[in-house]
Amino acid sequence: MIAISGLTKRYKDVLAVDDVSLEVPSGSVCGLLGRNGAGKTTTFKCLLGFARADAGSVRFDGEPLTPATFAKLGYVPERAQVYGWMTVAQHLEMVRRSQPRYDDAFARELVTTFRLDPRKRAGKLSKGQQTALSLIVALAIRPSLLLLDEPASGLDPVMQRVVLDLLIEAATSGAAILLSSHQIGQVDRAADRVAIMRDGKIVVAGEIDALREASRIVEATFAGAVPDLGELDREMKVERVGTSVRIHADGRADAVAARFGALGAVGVRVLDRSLEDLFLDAVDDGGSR
Amino acid sequence: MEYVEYLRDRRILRNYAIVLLAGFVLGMASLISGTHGTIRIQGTSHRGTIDVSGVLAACSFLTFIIATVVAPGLAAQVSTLAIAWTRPLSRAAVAWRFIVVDLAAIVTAYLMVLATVLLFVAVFHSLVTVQLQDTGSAASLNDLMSVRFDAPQMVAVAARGFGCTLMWYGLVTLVSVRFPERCGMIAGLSWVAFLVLGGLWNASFPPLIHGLIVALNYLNPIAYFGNFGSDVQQQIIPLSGTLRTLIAWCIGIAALAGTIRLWSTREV
Repeated sequence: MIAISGLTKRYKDVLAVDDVSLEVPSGSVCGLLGRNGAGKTTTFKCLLGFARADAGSVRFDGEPLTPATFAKLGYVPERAQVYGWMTVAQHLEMVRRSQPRYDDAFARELVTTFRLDPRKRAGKLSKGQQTALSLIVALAIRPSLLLLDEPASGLDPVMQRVVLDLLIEAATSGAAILLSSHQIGQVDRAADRVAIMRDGKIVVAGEIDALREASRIVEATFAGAVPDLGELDREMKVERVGTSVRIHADGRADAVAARFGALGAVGVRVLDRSLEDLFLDAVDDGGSR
Repeated sequence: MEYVEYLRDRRILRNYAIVLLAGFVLGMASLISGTHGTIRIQGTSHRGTIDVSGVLAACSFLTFIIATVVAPGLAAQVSTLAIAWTRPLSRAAVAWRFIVVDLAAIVTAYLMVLATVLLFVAVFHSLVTVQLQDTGSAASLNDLMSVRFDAPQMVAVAARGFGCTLMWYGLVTLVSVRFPERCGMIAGLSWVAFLVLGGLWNASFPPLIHGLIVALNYLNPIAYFGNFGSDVQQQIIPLSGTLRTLIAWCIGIAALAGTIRLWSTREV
């Protein structure tokens, strides 16, 4: 489990991470979303000890970060970090020598899956292949904690799917995974939870299904003018377009739909919202889109 | 993690061995072509002397090259921190291991140079005939030159050579870790800086500037290496040889301690 509490990081006048609290239980994939500069990468740096947080705490499986944590923690950075002059096989050997949990059979299976030539120097690999090697270095220890910052960037769609499947498999095996990505489709496919950052803060967090449920929209069409909606108008966000009305149901879609029926609506639809809709709502700063 | 530095240093030593081999072959070829396999000497009274201490000093000086090349290894990890800082080892332990591997490479380089020199003498001995000019009769190599072994002097030279190498390595490592993006440039410029600083000591400057140059030379390994004569006033660092050796070792160790602290507390 990854538990972040009140994490704060300031760079001079910029509050890069502002009182972030988040929990990623074991067996769960949490997507960390946000626009560029929202504070995702700084959050990762603080989690890994690359940057010292000004306040707050981070616990991995109940323990603070120590060197021993890295025996079970895998990290994939935003840009692939590999030794260009070393071969793929030498990268595996490096992990074998430094990580007690290294799984050689799994590592070689991953090399085959990603179609890497073990004799090839990392510097000669394509960007996507370097990303794959970076993933292999992180996954070869079968980590129970995984931090991934844009792990599939540069990979072709087939390999992106492979990566997501690997993450789902790792989570199924009990790993706690924090996954940052700009590709919401990837997060939607792999994650069961999401945290959305804006200006260093987490503005939305929770299970994706629950958030979707809470954000469903009920749309009703009336034969004539839209009648007085009473408490719905006061309690919820209402949009009127001609004889139609849309209500953001705040988790009470069924009750709202029933109310529309009672008000004489000729048609009522409950609309599910996509993760992208949730994201765009959360990061909307009123005019930048 | 030391595996990465081991691979890197192995590659450096391999290239160094190729350079030494090339130097060996070229030196041998020029010697043989110059003498046509025979050296004629006038008599045995004017023979030269090979001072083994001088050979050791030359080995140290050539080893500075390797110290310079391996020194930026730790700082260069800045582009792969996702690997270097996510091993189940403290950052200090990672740095220590890098340093130990580098120091082993430096000692290996020193022994490689020494072995090359000894091999050169042995091959020279077997390929070149020494004859007396007057009679044409054969003479021994000992008639051409004598080898001087001065054990205390050899120990002193080796100790100072290693101290200065450690100092050079330590200072370059420290500055590289402070400015990791420029680590290669720092290593290269260290030669320019140290040689120029040492050279400026001989130039005529007003006392204030000369004093500044002397002060800066206290951080110059070449100034400690200096000549090995006994006249203290002839040294850039006007201290006894033993004291200079001691200070060079201390500065090297202090620089490495500073490197480890900087590496351990660095933020990105």
